[in-house]
Amino acid sequence: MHRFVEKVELERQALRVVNSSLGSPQLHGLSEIAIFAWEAADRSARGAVAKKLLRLSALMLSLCERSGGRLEAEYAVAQDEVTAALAELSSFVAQLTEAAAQNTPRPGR
Amino acid sequence: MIELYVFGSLTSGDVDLGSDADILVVTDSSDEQHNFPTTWSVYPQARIRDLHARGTLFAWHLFLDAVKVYPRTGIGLIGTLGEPAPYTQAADEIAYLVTVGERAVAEIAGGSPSLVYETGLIYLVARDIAMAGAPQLIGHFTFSRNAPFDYEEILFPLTREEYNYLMTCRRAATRGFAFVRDSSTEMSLVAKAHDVLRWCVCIYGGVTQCTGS
Repeated sequence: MHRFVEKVELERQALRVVNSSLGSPQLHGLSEIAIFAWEAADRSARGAVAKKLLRLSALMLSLCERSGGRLEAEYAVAQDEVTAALAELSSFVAQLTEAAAQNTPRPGR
Repeated sequence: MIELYVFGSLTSGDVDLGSDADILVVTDSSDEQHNFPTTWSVYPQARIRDLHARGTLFAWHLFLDAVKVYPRTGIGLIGTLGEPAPYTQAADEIAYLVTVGERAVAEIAGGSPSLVYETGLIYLVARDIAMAGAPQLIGHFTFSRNAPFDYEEILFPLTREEYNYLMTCRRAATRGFAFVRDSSTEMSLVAKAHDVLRWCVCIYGGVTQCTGS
């Protein structure tokens, strides 16, 4: 059951990355359908992030499938993949935010 | 060979506009999840037998609510297994859910950027705690999503409207449910989040008194 908490923490981290940087409407969850709903609000601006989120979502699903008491090693590999995808998402969103800040006209210019 | 069951709101009649279909697939072998829609629950026979032998809440839910739809003949594994072992894990499960709730409430208090996600978790925690505590504190199992309102002696601190809002938040997180956010309801829920947590702790207290754990 502790793996539910682990899943929640991973979802929370991903949502924090997105919702802290990319404004509203919020991303409400990491289910495929929640990601599609979030992307639909601004497809051109959110498409690339949505792709990374969908990959993370698929990896998390795979992680959950491996949490049924099967091989610990297999679970650990899936866990590493999720962590790497989360880091990739985080860095991608940071780059986007930085690029957007540089393109924003500054007052008085 | 597989067996298909429906359970949840489809068999209890507890249906509303946002209800989904809870489908259970019982398979012969493990590792078949990828052959079915991701929203379905796929369990190998051995796992169902294990849950039944341990008397888990899910085993009781299936025993009491699941209806076999395929194959159309025969009583199926769940019918064959009959009544699960007594459900004795309520206190541990509630304690665990309380920690999930505490974390969500702390996130909300800290100004989480993902309020809908966190409030949706509070729905999940309150509902599941209500279900887990029901056999001891109400005297029977309940698997209704409105289970918190079945407690007449430990009154749930939210109105039905507020609770429905929490449920909508959970559906938005898990099923992409579209909804219009309501800032006044959200402010009220933020203010009452600790009350919900206290209610969860009271249920835990009630269950541990009953079981002497």
